[in-house]
Formats: sequence, structure tokens, C-alpha cells
Amino acid sequence: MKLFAQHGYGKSDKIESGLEEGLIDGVIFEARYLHPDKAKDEIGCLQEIDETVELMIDPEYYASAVIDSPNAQLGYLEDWGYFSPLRIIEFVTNPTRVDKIVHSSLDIQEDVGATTLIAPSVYISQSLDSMESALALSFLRKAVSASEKRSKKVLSTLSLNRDALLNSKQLIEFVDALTGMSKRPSGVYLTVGVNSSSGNNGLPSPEIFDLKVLAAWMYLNYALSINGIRVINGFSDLLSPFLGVAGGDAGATGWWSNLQCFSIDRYIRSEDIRRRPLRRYLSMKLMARINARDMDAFVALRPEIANQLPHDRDYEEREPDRTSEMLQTWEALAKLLESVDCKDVTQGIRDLSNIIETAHKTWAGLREREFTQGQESVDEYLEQLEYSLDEFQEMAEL
Amino acid sequence: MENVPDTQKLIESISEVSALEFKNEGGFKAVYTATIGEKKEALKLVYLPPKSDTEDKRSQLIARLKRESNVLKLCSNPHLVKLGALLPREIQIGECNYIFYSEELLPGRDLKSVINDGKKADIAELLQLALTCLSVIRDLWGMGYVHRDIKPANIICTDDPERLFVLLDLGIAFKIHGTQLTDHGQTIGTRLYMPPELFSPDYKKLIDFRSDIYSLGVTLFEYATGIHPLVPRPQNDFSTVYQIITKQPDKLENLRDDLPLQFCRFVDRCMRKKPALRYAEVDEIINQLEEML
Repeated sequence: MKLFAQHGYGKSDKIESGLEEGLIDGVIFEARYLHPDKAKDEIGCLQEIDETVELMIDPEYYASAVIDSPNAQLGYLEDWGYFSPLRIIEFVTNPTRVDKIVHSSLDIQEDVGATTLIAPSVYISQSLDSMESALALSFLRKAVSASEKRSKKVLSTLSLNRDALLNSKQLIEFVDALTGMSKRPSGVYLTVGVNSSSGNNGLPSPEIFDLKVLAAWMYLNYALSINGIRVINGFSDLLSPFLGVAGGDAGATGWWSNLQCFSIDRYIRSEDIRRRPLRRYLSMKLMARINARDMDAFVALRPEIANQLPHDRDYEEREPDRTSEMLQTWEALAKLLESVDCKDVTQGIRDLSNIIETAHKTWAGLREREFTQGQESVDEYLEQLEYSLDEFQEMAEL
Repeated sequence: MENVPDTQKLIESISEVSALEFKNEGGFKAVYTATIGEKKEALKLVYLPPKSDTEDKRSQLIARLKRESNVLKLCSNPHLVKLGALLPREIQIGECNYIFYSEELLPGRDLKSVINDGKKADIAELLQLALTCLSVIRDLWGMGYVHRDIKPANIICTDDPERLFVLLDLGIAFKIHGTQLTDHGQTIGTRLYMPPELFSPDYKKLIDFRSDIYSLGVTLFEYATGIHPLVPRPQNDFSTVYQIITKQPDKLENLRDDLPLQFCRFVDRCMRKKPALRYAEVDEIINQLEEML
């Protein structure tokens, strides 16, 4: 499975460094933080580092749902031409609007030099049996039709809230319908969003590692990939290995928590006072991030918590800078992806089970040394990961 | 079939027919061997319920038969039974109304009786059957149709090397009304090959050619092993449907380890409960199977 950078605010030199070190295979730019006038140069610079890198731009059309909100944080989105207020009823009364938005978004992405294009779509906020869902399928069909006239590959966006994945019957019927289309997309840019993107002390959001949600996300990857549809998972972070085993072609993660887990509330300015996030270290054996300043203590208790990879040195007796922190995450994730079989799903599930079991033991080892902070949420997290594998296997009829 | 007419009266009612021999009946049809002109053809006769009641059922039957003959006329696939000389026509015998038409008479036996004799096919026969059915599925789907009744009883095994297997009977398949367990005219034999999605009340929006792929998978499994993958012994309707919806079949490779693994996995995938997990590209599988020939 490939690993992509999920671009966002405060890029600095993270992506360039990631490419130079060969830690990432591509970049998913956030249109909100990339002005269209600067995009071509930005893309050109990265191609000079690695001409094979896959560079795409998330058009973030779903953010237009909040365009009229006084607290909307849309950055450069409105400069991208295709971006406009989303009123679902207008699409029903004027279906040609979908066509215009899809074409204009793809045109501008092509103009700025994206190597793979991502067609826009709406966010399915609650249910796969809704007007939003029907509209999303309409965007998808238009994307497929638009892709026939283009030389570059086009991914269709499928962006849904985790709640929409909880109804198995609707999910199965939705996937049946999508895979049964006479003209299917060649690829999908898939994001699964939570209702609140507030951090969870180094663990993925409990809304996402819920066994039903993760199993459903894996099932989407599996069903689409066996039908020849490439799946690029956005904001997948630590769940990337699970999605890779299920057949996903790529996962992605970035440097802030809102680049590690998707939520529509990222487009709304929060009134809460936010502290600068802590620097963290992604431990493969723990399957979680720990605070950088606790790293020495953790490793003293259980040396295996350190990944034994090059960027561990950035944590020796100091906190790393943000770029090093990001490189460490990509390095650890890339290694985790190598350790699971993404070609044989049965073997891949065994590999994931071993990883989870190792995490259980490693955390148990910390408990033995009376480190119990956050233990309940860790137990819950690992349990949900474990059960999600069973649930996925049942859904995928393996 | 209700109200099977006296054979002599039937001959007298259809002027083109000079000789008639009753063969069998099932569901809502009776089948005869008929001499029409100088040729022998299969004559299919359907009883129409009286006009005074169940007008819906009557008009649906007529529409179904006309649709069947229309598809047979339009689809040139050689592995689909050909229409005969007599196009659908209504007749009255006594107080009963019928509709009839003719098809080519195929020499050979239906696959069900071949399987019941204990035959377990070799890989060449299985591939031939698979490719035959897939070509029909593809061509019908290209016309916007789903066969919906692919099963051993609807496949004739002939000696003609160009047409080793021929599919019959689109008529029952087009519209499965509500898929109720007590559906008129439906037999358990038909349900055994129906995919899980056809038992849903929403079946009309769920059905596509992948439903035929499922039925093909079950048929191939049975031809390879001699047993049905989900209902190896006769059961009541409810148990049968329950097994079809919930039970996972044994893998074909466990029962026929002499068959190529690729073929076994092909059959297993055809029988997945969810359409999304079956094959979506018929041409692709045809190419893969042809390479195995």
C-alpha cells in the first residue's frame, strides 16, 4: 500500500523532506490552503524532487455546505472557481449544475499540473439512503463520464460521515449499486469523517476505531478493489494498514490531528481555546502515539516501544521540530505497511492480528510497571481493532 | 399447470400442428413435442386464468410470454433456445383460455437429469458450461435483460459440439413478483438457484446480471460435485431460503481437489451472497476461463 501526505496548513518543508527521504509516494493537497495561482509552482517543485510522485488536489467541494456560516474557514477555496454554495434542492432542479462543477474543477486541476485528478462531490452526512447520497452518486457518474475525455486518471470523491456506515443494509446496497454501474469509476478518493475531530490523547478518534465503522471502511476498500476500482483513503493515518490489507491502494496522513482524521467541522472556526498540540511519537509496537517528552520514560520501561528507525534520533533527549515529527510518523507508518500482506487478505488479517496482539502485550507491559494512564481507552481501542477484523471478514464473506 | 387440455382437442385448436405428444409440465407451462409443417418443435402451452378474476395475473402472464418470445427473437446467441414457427397466440378450448408458442426441439437431456444420474463433470465440460452461460448472460444484459432462472433443469445437454449446452426458459425469469414464499407457480427447484437479493422485498432495484452469475455458480457447483452447495438434501421452503441467505457454501476445492484452483475460486466467487463481491465484468471472466481451456 502506498502512503500519501495529507497536506494542510503549515506545510513548511515537511512534504519536500518526506519525498527526499522516500517516505511518501504522493501528496493530496488541500485546496483550502493552496492558492490556485501558486499550485503550479508548488507541484513543479515537488516533481523536481521526485518525478514519479503522485500529486493530487482534494477539491473539497463538500465544504461548500458551510459557505454561509459566519464561522466558515474556507481559506482559498472560493478562489478555485468551481466552489459555490451547496443547496441540494438546486441540484435536483438543475442537474446540469453537477456537470459544470465537475468539469470546471477537473479543468483547473489539470491546468495547475496535478498528475491525478480528484472530482468533487458532496459529503454524505448521515445516511446512504438520502438525497445527499443520491447526489453523491450523481457526482460520481458525472466524474466517470468526464474522465473518458481526459488523459489523466480521475478519482471520484466518496466522502461520508461514519454514521452513514452504521447501517449495514444501506452500505451493502450502496456498494452493490456502485459496483454494478455499467461505467464504474477507475478510482475513488474515500474519506470517512467523524462528528468531532478533537484529539484523543495519541489514539485515533473513538468514533473511527469503532469496530462497525472500521469494518465498514475496510469493506468499502475490499468490495471496490476486487471490482478493479482503485481506493485512495484520505486521513486514514494509523488505520492505513487495515485499509491496505482490505485492498486499499493508498492511505494518507498529515501533521495535525485534523489531517489524521477527517471531520466536516474543520471548516468551521472553533470558539474553544486551543493549545498548540503536543509533539508526539508514533510507536509501532503500541499502535499509538505517545508524548515526545514521555518517550525516554516509556522506552526505559519497555525498550521495544522505540521503532529502531532513523528518525528516533530526533527524539533523543529533546523534542523534535514539527518536520521531524511528521517524518517520524511517515517512517513508522511506512514500516507498518510493509509488515502486513496487502496482496493476500487472509494473510494480511493474520498480520494485523499479530500487530494488535503485540500492542496488547506492550501496553500490558507498561501496566505492570504501574503506568496506567489512559488505559481504559487503550483497551477499548485495541479491542475494537480486533473485533473489526472479525466483523470485516464476515462482511467480506471470507 | 392447471387445466391441462385434452391432447386431441389441442391439435384441433392449432391448425399448423399435425401431431402432438405431451412431454411434461411445470409451473405454469405444459410442454409438448409437436409436428409443425415438416419439423418437430417444442410447443409450450400456458393456461390463462379467467378474465373475471385475477386480471393482473392473466395480463402479466401474457406480457411475460410475449416478452420471452421477443427476447428470443432479438437475441442471436447460439446457446439460447431459438424460437420456432409459431409465435405467441391465444386459443380457447372449452371454457379455458391458453396461450401457446413453439421453440426449437433440442435433442438431448436436461442437465438436472444428467447430474441425477451421478455425473460429475470434468474441467473441460465445466468450462464449456460456464462459457456458454456467461455468453448468454452477457448478451442478455447487453439488451437490458436478466435471465433469472439459470438452473440445471433449464439447460439442455446436446451432442452438437457447437452447441453442447443450450439455455431455455426466459419466461419464468423476467419478473419475480414479490419473491414471496408462496409465489404462484414457483417451485422449490427454482428457489434453490435464486441469489439472496431476490428474496428481498426491494429485489426489483437490486437485481442485475450478477444475479445470473450467482445462479451460474450454483449450477456449476452442482455439476462438479453432484450436490447443491447450500441445500444438499430437500428441505421446506423456509429452511431453503434461510440457507440461501445465511449459509456459506463449502469451497469447491475441498470437494474437487482435482479441478484447477483458479476455476474453483471462480465458482466460489460467483456464489458470494452480496452482488458487489461477485464478478462485475463478464468479458473479463470469459477471457480468463478461455485461457484455461
